[in-house]
Amino acid sequence: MEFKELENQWKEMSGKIDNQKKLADSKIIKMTEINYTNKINKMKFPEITGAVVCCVALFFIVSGMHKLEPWYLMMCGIVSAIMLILMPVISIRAVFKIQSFDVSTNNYKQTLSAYNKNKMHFINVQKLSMCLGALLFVTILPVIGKLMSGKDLFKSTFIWYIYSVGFPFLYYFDHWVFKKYNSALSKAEDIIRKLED
Amino acid sequence: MIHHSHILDMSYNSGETKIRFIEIIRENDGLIYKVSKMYSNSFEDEQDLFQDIVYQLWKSFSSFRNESKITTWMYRIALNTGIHYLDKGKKKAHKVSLDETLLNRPEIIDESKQDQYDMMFAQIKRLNDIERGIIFLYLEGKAHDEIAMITGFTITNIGTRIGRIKQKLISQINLNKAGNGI
Repeated sequence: MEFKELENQWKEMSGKIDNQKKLADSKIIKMTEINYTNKINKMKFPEITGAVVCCVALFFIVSGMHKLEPWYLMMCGIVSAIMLILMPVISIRAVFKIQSFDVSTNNYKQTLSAYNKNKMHFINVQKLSMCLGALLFVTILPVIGKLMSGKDLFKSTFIWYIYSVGFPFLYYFDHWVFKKYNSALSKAEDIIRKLED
Repeated sequence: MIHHSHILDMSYNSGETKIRFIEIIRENDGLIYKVSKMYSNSFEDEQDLFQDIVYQLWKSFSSFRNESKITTWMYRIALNTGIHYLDKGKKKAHKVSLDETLLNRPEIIDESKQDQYDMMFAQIKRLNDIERGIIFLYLEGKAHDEIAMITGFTITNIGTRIGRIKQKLISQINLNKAGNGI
């Protein structure tokens, strides 16, 4: 096939499209009035749900902070609280960043560049969140144990069983997700590189 | 193509502006349809993107300053919206229900023609986002300077890129045909 042939095919198709029935005015009006708040909320649903869960856990830990002793349980409580604040904040910020865009002032090159840079930032934030999640897994278990049953789980074998099962699982899960993220990351990097060619 | 630049001096959001906007969309809905098809992977996505583009055009309508042709402005907004739609495809929102036969265009009776068009779109979609946007504008009959204006690349760069994309696209198509024994 020659490129001329492809061009002719495109022209033929475009001609057919232009000659067909036009959109009804009422449909166009409706399209200008779409409730985008619903759409945005739907897109942020996992992040918002996660943030709510983190807030509930944070409230639970902070309200029982005075019960956390000895010192290492207090440390676990403080680290968990910091993680529970940090994780949703960085995640929701990254989602807002990737979704806030101005299609009217930028050209195609600028839009592609901004979009891919935001995407790379989002992926890196997701990766960071997964690492923080693993850390949270370590610190929150003894805190919950202490607050719910008054026991120091570090003194029982139970927590070590949980860690020994949880860690390999987290390692392989993170490894699998990171592979997917890395592939998306290299695609975004490639586009940025090609924009400068 | 009717030039609508004179009609955009109306005060924004007046009923008259909306009527003018509708007129422009009706006049150029083929453009929006083609961009929607290029940046989506299913009929449902296509419908969503079509509506997103119309919405974005309406939102930006007041910022159009008659410095370029209305279609140049429309191509820019439509392609920019297409980029942002790339990862949104799977996340659906409530949308206006469109007449299926209307957006599932062109209505082609000849099945082999339909296959040809589908194959053409499929091969264009295999190009990266930069190549896809540039070749689309080229196939739409845009001159290098207009493509440069929409995309932000220099005219020389557009020339070089188009040459490369043409070769890549044709070799993709021929390879695909050879693979299918056509």
